[in-house]
Amino acid sequence: MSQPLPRPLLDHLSQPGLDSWEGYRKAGGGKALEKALTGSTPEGVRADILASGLRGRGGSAFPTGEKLEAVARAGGPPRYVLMNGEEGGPGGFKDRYLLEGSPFLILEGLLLAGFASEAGHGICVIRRSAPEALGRFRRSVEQLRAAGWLGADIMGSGFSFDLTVEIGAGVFCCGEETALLESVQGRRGHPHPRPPYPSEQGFQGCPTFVANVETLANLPLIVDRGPEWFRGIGLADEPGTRLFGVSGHVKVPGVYEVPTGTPVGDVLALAGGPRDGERFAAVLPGGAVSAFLPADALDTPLAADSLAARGSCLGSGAIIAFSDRCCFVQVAQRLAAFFEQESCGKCTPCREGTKKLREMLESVSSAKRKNGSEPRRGAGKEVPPPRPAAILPLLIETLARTSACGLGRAVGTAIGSALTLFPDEFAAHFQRHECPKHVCWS
Amino acid sequence: MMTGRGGAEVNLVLNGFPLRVPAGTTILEAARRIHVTIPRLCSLPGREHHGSCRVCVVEVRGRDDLLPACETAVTEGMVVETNSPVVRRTRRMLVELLLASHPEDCNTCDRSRICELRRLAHETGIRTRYFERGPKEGFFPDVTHPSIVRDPNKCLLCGRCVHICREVQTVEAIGFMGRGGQTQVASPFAGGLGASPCVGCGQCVLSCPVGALHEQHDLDAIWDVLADPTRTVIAQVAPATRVSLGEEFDQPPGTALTGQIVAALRRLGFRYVFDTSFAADLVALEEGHELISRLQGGGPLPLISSCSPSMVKFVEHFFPAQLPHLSVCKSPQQAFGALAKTWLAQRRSLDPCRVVVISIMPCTAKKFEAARPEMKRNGVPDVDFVLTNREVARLIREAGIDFAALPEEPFDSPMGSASGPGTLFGTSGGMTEATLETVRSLLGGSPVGPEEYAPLRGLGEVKRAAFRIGDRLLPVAVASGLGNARALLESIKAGNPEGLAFIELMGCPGGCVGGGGQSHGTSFEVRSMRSSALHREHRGRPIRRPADNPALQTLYDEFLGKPGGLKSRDILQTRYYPRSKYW
Repeated sequence: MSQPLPRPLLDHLSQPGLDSWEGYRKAGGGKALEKALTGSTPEGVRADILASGLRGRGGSAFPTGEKLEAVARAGGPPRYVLMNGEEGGPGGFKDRYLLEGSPFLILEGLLLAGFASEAGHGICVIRRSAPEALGRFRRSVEQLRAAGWLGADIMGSGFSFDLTVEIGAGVFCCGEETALLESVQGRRGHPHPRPPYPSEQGFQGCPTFVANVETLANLPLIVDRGPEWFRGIGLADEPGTRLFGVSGHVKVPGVYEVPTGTPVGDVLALAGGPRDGERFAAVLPGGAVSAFLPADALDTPLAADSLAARGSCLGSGAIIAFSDRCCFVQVAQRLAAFFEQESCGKCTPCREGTKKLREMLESVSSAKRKNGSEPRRGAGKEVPPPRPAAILPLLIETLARTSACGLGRAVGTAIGSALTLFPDEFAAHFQRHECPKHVCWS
Repeated sequence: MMTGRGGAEVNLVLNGFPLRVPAGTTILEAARRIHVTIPRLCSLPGREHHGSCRVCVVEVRGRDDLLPACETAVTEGMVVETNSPVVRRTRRMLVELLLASHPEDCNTCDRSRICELRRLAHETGIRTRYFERGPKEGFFPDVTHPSIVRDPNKCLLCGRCVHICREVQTVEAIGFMGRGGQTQVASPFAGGLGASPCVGCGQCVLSCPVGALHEQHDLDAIWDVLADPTRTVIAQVAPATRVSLGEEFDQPPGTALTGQIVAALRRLGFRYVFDTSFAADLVALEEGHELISRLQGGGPLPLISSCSPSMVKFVEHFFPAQLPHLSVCKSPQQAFGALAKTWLAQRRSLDPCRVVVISIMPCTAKKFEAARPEMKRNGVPDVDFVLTNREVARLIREAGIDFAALPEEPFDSPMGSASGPGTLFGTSGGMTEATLETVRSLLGGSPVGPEEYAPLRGLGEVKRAAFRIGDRLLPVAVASGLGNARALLESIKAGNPEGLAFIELMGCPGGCVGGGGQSHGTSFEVRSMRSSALHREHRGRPIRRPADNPALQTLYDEFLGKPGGLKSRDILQTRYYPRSKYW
């Protein structure tokens, strides 16, 4: 890499004193909101964001400008802005990093979103398992209010906005926007069919702009530096940079920022590459809901269409690397256990299917031994019917095709791709109860 | 079933058959038009669907995922396959998954005869099993309620009971708790149904596809008392039971089998078999007097009938301030029990302590009512046991009685005769008819034809009418189902703007013909058939008014004195207590 990659968010985060209002102002924060409130209109801000081409960073990559437009048009008041900080997938920690690093940046983005969508109230959901982020965020809200940037008639502009901070239950399926809305209204976090979209009927049936933390963090930068600057970074149809939480078998796990369209391998190289004596075997480019990319496909750009062409997806910015030392049956079993725990329990395929998936993979891999219980079958013996090898693909298909929401449909993605990528490894477990890598008990 | 918006119609192709249906029709209903029944589990006919079981998924051309037929509306040009290979194999997998965590105790299960999961397994062609059964762990049956038992181990989490309890009955005694594999249907704070506002109506039991919900069983105790020669066992048969018990023996709904039921109970060892309708006549007479006295300024109006025990508990939990509106008269079941242990015991020289009264009721809440401490005299309960239709059918089957072949036998005397309106207590509106007929006779009016009461008949949600009796116009309202009852109670709370004088509230939709102790498979059509059968019974009765029942006249002459008199107050009246929503 000859030229340093642009990393506006991380550059901002590297400045000192961001946890106080004064420090944030000193670091150049707050200019965007001042600019919008004094020199622009909601229509103007919406036009800027639409022109920037910013897409939601939460996973579905919906154009943010269009969503703001939809909320502003949908009727009301009241309208709401909902910050989705319910980041619950394995390997997902980039939102928490942002919330801990620069809470005022997020709050400024939230105010801008409120101004642009002509909403009067913001609801910030931060997951329970990020107490540090929650504490800092709450303190920041108090400081912002003391500075007169929250409440009625901010900066004498006539724009009034206030917000509440809610603790998310830390449930994976509540990261989905309709389930999150149910959850903040005190009901069970069950997803709803869309339409109606939250931009039409969201919080208490009112138009609600739901945005990921990273999306909000980009808003002040766009308003401050102009949409052309943003468009100049990354790919033409999804410009800007993205934060990735890189974890797994890399030398330096952490949060990295790259322009969209950067190959997966480059991000892994930023994270120090594989650990000593190891090679990458496969990567999950979008967390637990994406499909494995094999080691020979690490040149795939981190963009929605190129990943989709490989059967995977961009997800919400969690890259998990797996070295050639790990047993993918065990990985699949861990993933199944995660989904089993996180299933909301409403529909049959997800509730019962994830359980059976985990049990089936567990019966041929090591997890049972860790609990101290005896293995059920001897090594090298043929596994009697029902044969997991025959049932597993059918189970994955049922999950993918009949589940009520995205969580259930995504369960089989990673596991199914592991089955196709490493057929011999699975076959050895299923047929002979052997782990070729001698990782899990066999 | 669903009506199209503006009468628009759409074309679709279903299993290769072109079809034209109103817009808004679901795929499930569209399939029915070409006589294809798509297997389903969680949806209840005529109710908004839950979409949780996914068993009804179908393939729609152009879609990668399969769509639930119960909640997907057809669109123009849709091409649907309900039995394609992918539908068949995923449907089978879904049922396999349900079976995998379901206990295999079918032989001893309450629903062993008619289980929807067993039927589903059959219909989806499951002959061998994919999975070893992995039972749920840490779930225990909830036996804290006097009427209802819930076994979460058998629960499929289809959500029907939750939907019925919340949307139809507006009680919300149960809801989902936990997530993933730990999800279960539970009462608030998992405190057990007994500590919840559950009124015991049993609509959840009727809606349950499997044996996860059933009534508290009393059969073993009943076999014991029937075998005890020192006990005099008396049965009373509710009006709605006689037109529905046949369903348990494969008769069509609405078959009146009064005589066969009496014969069967005698063969089981009941000493006397009486008719609850007799007590219904009595209650109509007492409540008629109460209504007149309240109209003359002796208490708050409107008077609310107190015949439905689930409704009474509902008012105690949710409308404690409206309790004075409830009639102080006991329900016919309790009035009968009280008389059996006083008047009848006296007449036949029986020791009240050795008399056992067993009610045959289409009701689960009556089990709770019979156990209420107010329903005891000198420590002796008015009613000792309550059997639902389902239980009494088990009793008959267990004794090996060929029910259909039994001769018809009459009820015993003296509590075996009833007026026409007395039999109508089993259906929504009948109780009002009987009470108004009583008021009319007490005020010296002549009997009117049944057409006068037409606005009160049928299974409408809330029925309103005004009747001119003497020089008074009496506005009355009739509601069945607790959601509808709630609407009327809210209006009383708001000061009774309609000026109602009398309200009949029944806990179950349609009244006792839709009771929670009825046979499984109770639908709107089945309730209508049972209700029509009761109206046929009513027409066939020679006694037209409760007050004209000769046995009732004997009762007052010999024992009670006059309606609303001292003895009536002692024996036939009860009281109510406010209850909290949560413990």
